[in-house]
Amino acid sequence: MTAAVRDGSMPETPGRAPWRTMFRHARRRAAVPSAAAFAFLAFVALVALAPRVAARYDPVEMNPAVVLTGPTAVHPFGTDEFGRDILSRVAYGARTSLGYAVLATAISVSLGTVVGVTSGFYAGTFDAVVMRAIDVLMAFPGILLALIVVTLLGPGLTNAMIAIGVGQTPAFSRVVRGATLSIKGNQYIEAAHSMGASGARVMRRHILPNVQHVVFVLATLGYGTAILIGASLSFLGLGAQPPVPEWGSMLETARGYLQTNWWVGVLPGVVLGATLLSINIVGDQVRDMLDPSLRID
Amino acid sequence: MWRAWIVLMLVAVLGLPQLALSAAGPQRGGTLVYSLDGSPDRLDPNLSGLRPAQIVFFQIFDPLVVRDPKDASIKPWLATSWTVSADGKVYTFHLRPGVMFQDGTPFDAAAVKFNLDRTHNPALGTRCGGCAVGFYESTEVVDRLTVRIHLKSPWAPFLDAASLFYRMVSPAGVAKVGDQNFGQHPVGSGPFRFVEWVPNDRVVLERTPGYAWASPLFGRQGPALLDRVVFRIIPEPSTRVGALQAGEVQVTTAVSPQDFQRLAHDPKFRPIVGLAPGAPYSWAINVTKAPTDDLAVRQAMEYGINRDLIARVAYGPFQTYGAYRPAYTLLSPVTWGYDKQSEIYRYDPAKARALLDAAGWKTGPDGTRRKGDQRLVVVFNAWEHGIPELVQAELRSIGIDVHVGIYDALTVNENQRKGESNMSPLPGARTDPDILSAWLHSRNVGSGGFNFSFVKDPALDKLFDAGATEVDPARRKQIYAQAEQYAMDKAYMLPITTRDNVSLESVKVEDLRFDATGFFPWLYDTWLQP
Amino acid sequence: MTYVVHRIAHSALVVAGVLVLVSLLIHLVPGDPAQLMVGDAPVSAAQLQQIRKSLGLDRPLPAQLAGDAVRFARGDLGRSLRSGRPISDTLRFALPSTLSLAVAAMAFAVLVGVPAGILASVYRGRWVDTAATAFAVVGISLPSFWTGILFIVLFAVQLGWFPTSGQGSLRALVLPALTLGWYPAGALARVLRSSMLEVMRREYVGVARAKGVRERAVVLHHALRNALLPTVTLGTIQFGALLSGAIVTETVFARDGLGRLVVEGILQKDFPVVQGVVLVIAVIYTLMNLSTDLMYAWLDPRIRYG
Repeated sequence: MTAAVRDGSMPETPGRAPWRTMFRHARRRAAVPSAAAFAFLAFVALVALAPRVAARYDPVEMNPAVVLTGPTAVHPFGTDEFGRDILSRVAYGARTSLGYAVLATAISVSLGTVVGVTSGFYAGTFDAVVMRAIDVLMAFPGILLALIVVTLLGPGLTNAMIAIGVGQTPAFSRVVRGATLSIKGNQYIEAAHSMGASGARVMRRHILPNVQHVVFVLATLGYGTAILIGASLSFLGLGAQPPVPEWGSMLETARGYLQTNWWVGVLPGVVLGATLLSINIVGDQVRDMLDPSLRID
Repeated sequence: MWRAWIVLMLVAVLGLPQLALSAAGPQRGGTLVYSLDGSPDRLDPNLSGLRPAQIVFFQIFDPLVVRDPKDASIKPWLATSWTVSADGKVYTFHLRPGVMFQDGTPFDAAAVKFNLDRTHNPALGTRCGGCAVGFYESTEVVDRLTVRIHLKSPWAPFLDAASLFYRMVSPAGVAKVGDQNFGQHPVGSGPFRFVEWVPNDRVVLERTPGYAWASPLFGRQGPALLDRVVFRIIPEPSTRVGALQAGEVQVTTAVSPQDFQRLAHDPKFRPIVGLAPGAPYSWAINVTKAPTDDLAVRQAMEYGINRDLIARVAYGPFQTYGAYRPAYTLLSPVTWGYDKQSEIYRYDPAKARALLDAAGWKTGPDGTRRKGDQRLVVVFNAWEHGIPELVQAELRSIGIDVHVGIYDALTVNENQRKGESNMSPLPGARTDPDILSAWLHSRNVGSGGFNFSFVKDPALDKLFDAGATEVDPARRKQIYAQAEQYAMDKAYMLPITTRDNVSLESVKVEDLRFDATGFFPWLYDTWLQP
Repeated sequence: MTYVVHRIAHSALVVAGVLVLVSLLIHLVPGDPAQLMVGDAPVSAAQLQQIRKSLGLDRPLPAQLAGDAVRFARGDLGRSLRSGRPISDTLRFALPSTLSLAVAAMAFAVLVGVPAGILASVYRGRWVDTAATAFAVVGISLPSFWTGILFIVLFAVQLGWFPTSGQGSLRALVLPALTLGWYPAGALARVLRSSMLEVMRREYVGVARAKGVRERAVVLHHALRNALLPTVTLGTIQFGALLSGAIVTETVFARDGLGRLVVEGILQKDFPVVQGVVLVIAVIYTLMNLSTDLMYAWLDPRIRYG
């Protein structure tokens, strides 16, 4: 449900085995599921970029003649309460859900990186103040912080995504700070410092490249969480607005049809579940490859 | 002789099953579980106007009078008779003797005064939308069982309000726990008394022993038949109907069309349909905000939506029972004062396009019309899916871009009030046509009022004022007909469908009746098959 | 010992910060809080002023913050604007309801997740592993509002095994607990599996095996004990996360609780309720984190503050 990063400082970054070996190792360990997950995600991403690959209809076009018809050759996922083609809505919904989650992840990753790196790098009072602020924010578990932000900004998809991005930032900052601290001790950074490089330059040239892998793992794992919380906020009526096709709000309206017209809720739900599943599998893979000690459960 | 035999045979064939049935007639006992779609705020009729709260507290508190759903006449309840002064400003009620509150204190004229004053005490912040706020002046205790209510100016809907919203609470009960806490410890004179309230889960009531002042409209006297009533709070529609199917509740309100279709013919359940008088599901149209300040745009919307189709797609299964029909004017067809002449907008997309063309709204490259650099965008907020999407699709085909927002009711109202939306819904189930003045009288613009069209039209105000004070029914009806025609001609609101009570009950439930609004159950008579 | 003192002081600081943030909340909301609160009631300007006064909004900000802090510290969370009910009263019903849901969900997570993790690691690569991993990954992937509704349709409506909603009975707790508990069960199983595998690769396990200790004893005594540390941490964190998971689960199952209170408070702009619930959740969450850290320190003596 939520991203909770382990409290306390980062475990030390382990000595990294050569990339290639790790990749091979990881590949061997879960070849079939991860290949399937990669393939599925690639397909969903393709559909998100070019919905017409899967969509044969306008996702918002209503057709009163075919209201709530089950899956057929013409409408493989059936139609909804307005006679809209569900497969087309799922396809365009991939664009909405996946696209907006990028926004949320971009916010949390960039804010988290800036806060984490500067706080870890400058240490001292600045760090102490930032970390206490983060501690306070982290006392609001996951979706609660997002809910509060939505209350302040008002409902809507963009606001919901900002809320999710902000909601994930404290946890991300803390992990990036941990990574920064463990790198800061390295001799070459002290060397760069003593040669008169400015703080900004050291951070940019020496710290950022070295926490890159952590940020990448965070982004992958955070992306799935962003989609999930986005769907949850839409479920609570605080996200996407009609007629925009979005997975969470599709499921929200489908709730009432589960007993009468199962396809309205079950098929989009299966796609959402499979997407999240694939992101989790791929995310684990990426983490195992880059930094097995990172844990965001 | 043979005739007698035939009669006997007939009696045997036709009558015996009847006898067998009536032998199992009204049974005392049992617990009725009734599901609500939202939580009450406080069980305090003086301070709350929230529907789930009203459904519960209408069982605990009696009104002075009651409207008979059969002929819409006003019948006695706690008042045995009443008179209205010639100027329409003074209402005198003669109270029924021997009525006791559930805490053992007597109901009398002083209690009526206490209730009226408390309802209109601004420091307590009443949320009673249908009460005489702005009209009430004072209450005078004439003697122990006679009370005189003075209004600042005549207000014809007063008896209607008295039949619904002015319910009598026990002054001693309020004194005991305080104004703010009374809603959690309600004490009234009704057929059921309060037992417990588990927040967000249930409210439990039990029969008031010794109840002997039911309104004559019930045709029966004495305590209620049910031992207990449990109101279960289940906001989720699919969960609510699931609870009915699982036998956890016996009555479930606000059923979705598809669940209704599925279960209405199930032998275990019975549909309950109450056609609601008052305003149908109408949308207020902000006449001060572009582009709906343009009469042509408003009229184009009236002509441009296919109400028949919208009602059929959104609410098809209800229509078999006469509910949720297309609505073409400001009052629903079952309302006293409904005027068919005002139904002037039949679906005519060609006419809608012509109106927009003539007003200078030309179709742009993206299919949306524009005038100069202004796109024809109408912001449409609601708290329910269905109608908004359908209207959006219909208006798109005549070149109006509708931006829909589905939010909770408070946000919807706030957005309309702040002028962030052009349109928002105003459902108003009431038995009196004066409900229209709440939507369209200029005094209800701003500061908490519900004139969400922001109409300040002296001609309309004059009609509403005349309607509120006219005591002759025929003339009064004429005034409201005029008001409906006038307001529809100006397209101040967009009526779309009627909005009725659609519920399901278990076949074990007998004699569950609803009041004249169609929404509030009377559980006094209700009993359960064993 | 200094670690413990430090950790407690730190938690106190966090709680103080939460107090400040929560009492600022009402000022961060766009618009006039008093107007938002009366919602649709017809009120005069004088009444609005009265409401501002009753909420202490007419005083300068620092005075409000101080007043709020004193009030909250005394346990007085104010009254709901909609029901007039004292919030501490409402919490008396909601808190046990949410806690019992969270405890039941956690019990399910431990009872299912721990054996699943152990079995998966012992039978690594076999069908048991595949099944346990699938259970885990599906659990952490599916949105709980969707599984919850499927559970209601299947187990309550179709099969009639459990009630659809409500509380008061243990049976009513089963479906919400499954819905809420599947995620932590999956997370626990995954973490336990990987840390078991890691531990079993270590030398002392090999030594134990070489010494002829039976496999069952190797797994349960040597491997599990050491693999449990990260699992315990995760477990307590998950317990905190359950509080936010409860927001969705309680809505689906129409259960009373903190989650549903906060959602309704937000939708109805009932800010004192939102403040009160947020405060309680944040304090519980902080206490959970504190106890995790203390337990961690107790289990692993190497950890010291630094």
